Amino acid sequence: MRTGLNRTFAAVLVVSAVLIGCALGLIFLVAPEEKVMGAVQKIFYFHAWGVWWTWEAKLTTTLILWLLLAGCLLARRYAATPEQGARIGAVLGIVAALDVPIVYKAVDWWRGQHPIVFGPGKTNPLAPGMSEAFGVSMLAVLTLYLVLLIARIRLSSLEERIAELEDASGRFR
Amino acid sequence: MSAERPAPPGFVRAAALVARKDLAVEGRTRESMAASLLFALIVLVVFAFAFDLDFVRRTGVSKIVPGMLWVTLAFSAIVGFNRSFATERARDALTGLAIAPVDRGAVLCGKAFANLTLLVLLEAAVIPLTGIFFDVDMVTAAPPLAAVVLLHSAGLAQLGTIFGAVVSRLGRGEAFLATLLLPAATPLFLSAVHCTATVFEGSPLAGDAKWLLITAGLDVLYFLVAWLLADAILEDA
Repeated sequence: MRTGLNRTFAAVLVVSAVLIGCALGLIFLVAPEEKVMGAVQKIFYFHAWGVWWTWEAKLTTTLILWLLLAGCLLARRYAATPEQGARIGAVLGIVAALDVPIVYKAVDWWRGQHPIVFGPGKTNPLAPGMSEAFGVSMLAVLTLYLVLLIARIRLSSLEERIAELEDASGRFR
Repeated sequence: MSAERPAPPGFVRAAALVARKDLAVEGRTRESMAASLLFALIVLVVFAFAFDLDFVRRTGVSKIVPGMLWVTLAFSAIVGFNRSFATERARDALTGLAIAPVDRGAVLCGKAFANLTLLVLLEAAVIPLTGIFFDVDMVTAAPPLAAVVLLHSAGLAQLGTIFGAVVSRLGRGEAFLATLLLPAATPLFLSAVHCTATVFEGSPLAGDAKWLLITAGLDVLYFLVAWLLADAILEDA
């Protein structure tokens, strides 16, 4: 099972690297330049709003989601046993997930600085070239997430293995 | 033999029994009420120092007081939610509840109902006090305000019960309960502050129908989540 995990990790890592390469290529070579801000807009988001932080609806609800998930991680650490940590972490994760639709709807409910892009009666607003860059970037970030997730699973299983070995060596000492 | 053993109570009856037990304990000790009420009073006084009455009047009551009121209620409610499970930790009473032959969802719902009752009692004391401290006419605002407060408190009590159980399972105190509950309850607080401001302005609540509808939906959602997750929360580790 461990070698299977290692193989999956290597495969996803390669796919992710290729997709990130494609995404960068599409972003810098294919996607059109923003009319007002020019090429800088492709790498510079701060520049678009002119502030580091603002209490905008989508930012705020996302921050809340992060806080909830941080609480989740804390709960796992506080648990008496890994099993309890896993269960309670799962419970908190489910409650935190209730915030996700709120983040999505935030732009509709409280009009902020994020444009409403998707909705009834809206046609695809992305320029040709931009659509492809967007789709591939989305996939690249998703596979990067998978890479990180599998790396974390591998780390956890190694930690478990060390704990097992320590247990065993303690028993026979 | 088995014919003499009474059948275990159903969902509603089990929940009612748990709620009655909690309220009976609170009725005798008055520990939770005393602690949360005193804490609420202190928070209100701190707010009175932070924003003096002149400033509140100049800025507009409906702009500041709803936020203050709900921060006060949230903080003092956390004290109460924590107590609700602290009493169960003594002599491991929660394990007794968890192994009772009833739906564990009923146990959580019973506790949530008891917490809601205590929260409403707390609000019945805190809201008039806020009115007096910050010169808000609570008498004319009373009927719509009661509806707003009850609707939002139901969700808050349900969430507070879920997180109170989780935190007591982890053996952690009030600080961690606040860390979990405050961000999770943000949608409720946003709506509560908005609707309370509408009431203080004297505008009809019908304009906030969308907010009230979302909150009612959240109340139902939190109830379902508590019911579905009760086994995972109360199961003995």
